[in-house]
Amino acid sequence: MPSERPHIPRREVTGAWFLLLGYATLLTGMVWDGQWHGDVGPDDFWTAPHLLLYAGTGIIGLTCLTVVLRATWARGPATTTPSVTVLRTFRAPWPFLVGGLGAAGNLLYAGSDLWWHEVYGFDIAAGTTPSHFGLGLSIQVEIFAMIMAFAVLRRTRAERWGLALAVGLATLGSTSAFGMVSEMIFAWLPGVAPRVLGLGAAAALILSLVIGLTRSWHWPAATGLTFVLVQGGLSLFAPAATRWYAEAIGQPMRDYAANMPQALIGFPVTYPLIALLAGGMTAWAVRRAVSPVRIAMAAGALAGINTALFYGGLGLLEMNLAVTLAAVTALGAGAGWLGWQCAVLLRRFGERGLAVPRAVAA
Amino acid sequence: MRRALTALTTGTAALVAILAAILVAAPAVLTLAGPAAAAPSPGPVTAAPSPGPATAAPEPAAAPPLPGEIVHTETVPMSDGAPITVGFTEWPVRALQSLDFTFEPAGGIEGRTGLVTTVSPSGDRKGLKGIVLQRRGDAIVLPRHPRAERVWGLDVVSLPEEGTWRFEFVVERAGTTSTGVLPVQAIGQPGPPLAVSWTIALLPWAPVAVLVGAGWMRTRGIRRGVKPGWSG
Repeated sequence: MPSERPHIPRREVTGAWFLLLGYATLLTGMVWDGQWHGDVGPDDFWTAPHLLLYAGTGIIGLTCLTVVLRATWARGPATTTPSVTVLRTFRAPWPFLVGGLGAAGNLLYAGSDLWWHEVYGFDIAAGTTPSHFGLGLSIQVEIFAMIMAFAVLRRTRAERWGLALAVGLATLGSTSAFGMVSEMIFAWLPGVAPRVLGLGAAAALILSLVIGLTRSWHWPAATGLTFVLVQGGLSLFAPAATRWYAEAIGQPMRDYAANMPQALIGFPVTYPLIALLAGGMTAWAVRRAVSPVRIAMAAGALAGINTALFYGGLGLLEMNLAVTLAAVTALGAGAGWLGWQCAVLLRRFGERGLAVPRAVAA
Repeated sequence: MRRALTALTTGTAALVAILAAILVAAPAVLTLAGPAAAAPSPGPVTAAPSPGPATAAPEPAAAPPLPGEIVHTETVPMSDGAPITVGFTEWPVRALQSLDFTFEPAGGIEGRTGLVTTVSPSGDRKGLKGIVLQRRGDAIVLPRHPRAERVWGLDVVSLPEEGTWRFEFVVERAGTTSTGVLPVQAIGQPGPPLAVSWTIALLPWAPVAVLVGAGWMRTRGIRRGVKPGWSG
């Protein structure tokens, strides 16, 4: 191994943690907003959950802007993080360029969402709207930026835990974009619940990405733990905050509102078991020198199967379980392969600028 | 690292302070759903037989629900002779535009269970979707309206299709069942055609998809040149 370590300036390290803080804020607002719509209902642009959501986006956007400006004006050794020059002036490390574009897109689509609701009202049950679709994709871009920022780090235990926490947040947070896109793409498939395919693919992609990035059994397992913290924490927070907020502004709860945590059914609560299993599979494969691509694909397929069994068991989504299981297993394996490929690229991301032999086993 | 953590802690503290300020100020600053927020439960209403603006005059239970919001009513004859009065907060009803419905059976909702099956113009018997809608088969079990608890109601819902909808009512009371049907005409949606809205919303993602695709192809050499292994 080369003796030198990647040079990642402090601004990027601090920036990565701020992306995490911003996205955690955004996700808290998003989950609270969903709980609010279900339990209480009335909506406008300025509800407290919306403010939290946009505060999170603001943190992400300002963080990216700050890092890019400081990178542009910085003296001293250049960052090893792959960067791009924007408008012939600004030096932008890729994670922060992506995050900044995601935040900008988020705010633009938020403006279009405001217009949408002025024209159509605040029907929350109308299905996916164009503005919500754009919001969901922009937020997914912010998620990718956060993971990229931590994928570059991974030098210390704290930074690896940062990656695990980012992945825990991303797993729950990806439900929005992946759910909407899958409902658009797979609606024509007979007997299949499109949302199961989307959520299964998200779980598969993220889990295999962690396996490929860290190449150790600890971190897939650790992401199961961080997912429990994220889902558990939001499941405690959202119903309580909804009750409190409704009381504070004098809004009654809906007749059927059970005030049950919606975060518990937003993504399978059984997912951490799959993350642990993926950790076990990785440990076994390392000892037996089994191809990691196969393990990534197998973990992806398992994540897909888990999603179908969870929603099939709950009976929340209309589906033919056998057909959905077959489809999500294949899609999960494919997403597992994709996650591995992305991990290969992200590992090279962190290694660029070093004297790394071309034939390195990545 | 220490500076990063210090900055993060400071940022978190600042955010918590901002949120605390927002939440403390929420009752005063945030008003929801216009007049509904000011009168969240069936409060003082007028005795006017037709819907109109609310006044401060107190009135017994027979007053219409959601004063100042209901702009149109229809009466649905039921098989047991006890009609249902359906209130609309928007009239005419436009496809995709949200509104509230109230459903008030003669004699009140106490001791009665109301079911409505919303059949879309294209024949979908679950035409009206919702997050918190209890169902029995295709039918929605009518909840109390959140801001008018003495009647049934659906708040912030929309009819997604243009054309004539059929609201098929069933009211159960003490082992007896009555039925009735209300046709509801949904005229064309407001705003630009949906295809235009979707095109504008999706357009920014076309170059993103092209860039990601091109980047994926360009990095094929890197991805294929790496021998899969567990080292590192």
